[in-house]
Amino acid sequence: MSDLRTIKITVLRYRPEEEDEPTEQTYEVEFRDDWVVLDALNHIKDHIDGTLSFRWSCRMGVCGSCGMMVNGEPKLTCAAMLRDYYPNEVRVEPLVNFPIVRDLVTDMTDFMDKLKAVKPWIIREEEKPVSEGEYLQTPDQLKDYKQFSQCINCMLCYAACPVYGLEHDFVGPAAIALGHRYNLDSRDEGNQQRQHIIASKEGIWECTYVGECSVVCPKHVDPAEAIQQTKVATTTNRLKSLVMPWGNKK
Amino acid sequence: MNYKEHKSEPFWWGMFSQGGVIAALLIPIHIFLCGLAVPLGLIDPELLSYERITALLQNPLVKVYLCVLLIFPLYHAAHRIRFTLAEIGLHSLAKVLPVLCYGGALLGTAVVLYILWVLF
Amino acid sequence: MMLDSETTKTYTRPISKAWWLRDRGYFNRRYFMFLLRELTSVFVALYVVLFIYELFLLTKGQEAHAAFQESLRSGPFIVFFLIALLFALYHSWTWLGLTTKMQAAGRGLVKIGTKTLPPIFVALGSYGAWLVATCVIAYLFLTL
Repeated sequence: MSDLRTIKITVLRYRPEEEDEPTEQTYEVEFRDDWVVLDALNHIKDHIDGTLSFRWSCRMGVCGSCGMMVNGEPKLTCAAMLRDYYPNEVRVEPLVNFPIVRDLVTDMTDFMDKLKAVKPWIIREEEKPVSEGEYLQTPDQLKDYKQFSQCINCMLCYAACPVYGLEHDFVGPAAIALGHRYNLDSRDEGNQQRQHIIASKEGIWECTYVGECSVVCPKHVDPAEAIQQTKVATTTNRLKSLVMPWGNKK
Repeated sequence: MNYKEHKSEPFWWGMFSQGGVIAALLIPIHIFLCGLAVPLGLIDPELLSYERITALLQNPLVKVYLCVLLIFPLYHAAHRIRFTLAEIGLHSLAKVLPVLCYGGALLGTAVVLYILWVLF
Repeated sequence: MMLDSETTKTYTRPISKAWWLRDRGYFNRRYFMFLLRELTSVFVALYVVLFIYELFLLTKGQEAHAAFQESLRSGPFIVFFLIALLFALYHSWTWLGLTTKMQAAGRGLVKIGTKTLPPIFVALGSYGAWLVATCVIAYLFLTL
């Protein structure tokens, strides 16, 4: 009885000191019903080829480090079951639209810069001293932004977005959704400070609502809808300020 | 990167989305009635006769309706065509496309208004 | 990992111009459907331009109008209108679906007091509006 089942894992490799373009390498590993793609990669690294590079940390869909292309779709490899692909080959590639540093590791500098630029933290016009206590919020006010706060910065949405692929200046799904999250927060007063980036040419107006960002989001943040809601709000505010220039700008 | 709030995009996007709603709600039935039902003889061709249509056009409400039906979807189409052309390979023309597309829509607007209020 | 892009040799796989057919080796059906969705606008524009042309012909008198109406009965025009109708319906379907989805995301945009209108009502509103508009236009066209 030969019950050792195997599965082929083809990995896109890029070793900058050896080659100018990525190449492919196929490994054959034992197939286990309860393994995810990340388990197979770790098995390769530990037992077959220690030179293979990739990022991972929590193995439970929280840290957002192990995002890769699995058979062409951006996935958290810790949540992509091998059995969903077996007996076919699995192709693992680094997230597209980002520069490859080595093998499956990409350079996330661009995303980190954009994330910082939308100021994803609570901004107050005037901070109150700690002695006055915390900023309170009702459960209803929490619900207003909760869905958009689930982002783990895994960048799958950027790999899914053809607009970002074509125009790297696009601020992109996750960063805009996080800006939206803070704009919707009752404790936040930083709407005006985010407006110049969110409502810029490179911000919401670049998006054509392909919607793939929301499809691939492992946390159901729904960045595509966050962006469209921001477009509606920005357009309505602009209209209001034209019709009633004396109105409250906030 | 120096970001700057864009002042005119909300206007074009607003026109695009209004046009999108109008096109979604009104265009299919118009195509069916005037483009298929009458030419195929499913309904009385007299419904599109010269006498009937010119009589209808005497009614200012009909004119206003036609303005809404024809003008907004032009901006809807202009906006989508602008972005789609950039996305399928004309990215290098991203600066010219808005001028061409919205320019076309503006021209269409002028033509509609001219026909309805000057020629009729 | 933050990199010094000056000293690190990276490689970016370029996106193809035909990404909606093949994106770095793979076909994504949703990209293709997205492109079809955007393509509906071309048919909307063509129909509107044709409509404007018909209005213009009305100003040229009865004969010009009748001649064009007659040409609309030809095969190519029927095929065009058939395709345009399919695209227009696809536009209605996707547009109303996306506006519904957009309004329902997060807490939802349609609120009554502090409560959000359930997405199903938003959907019924959108598609219902389409049905009402379609019937009203057809009724007015046939009876006015």
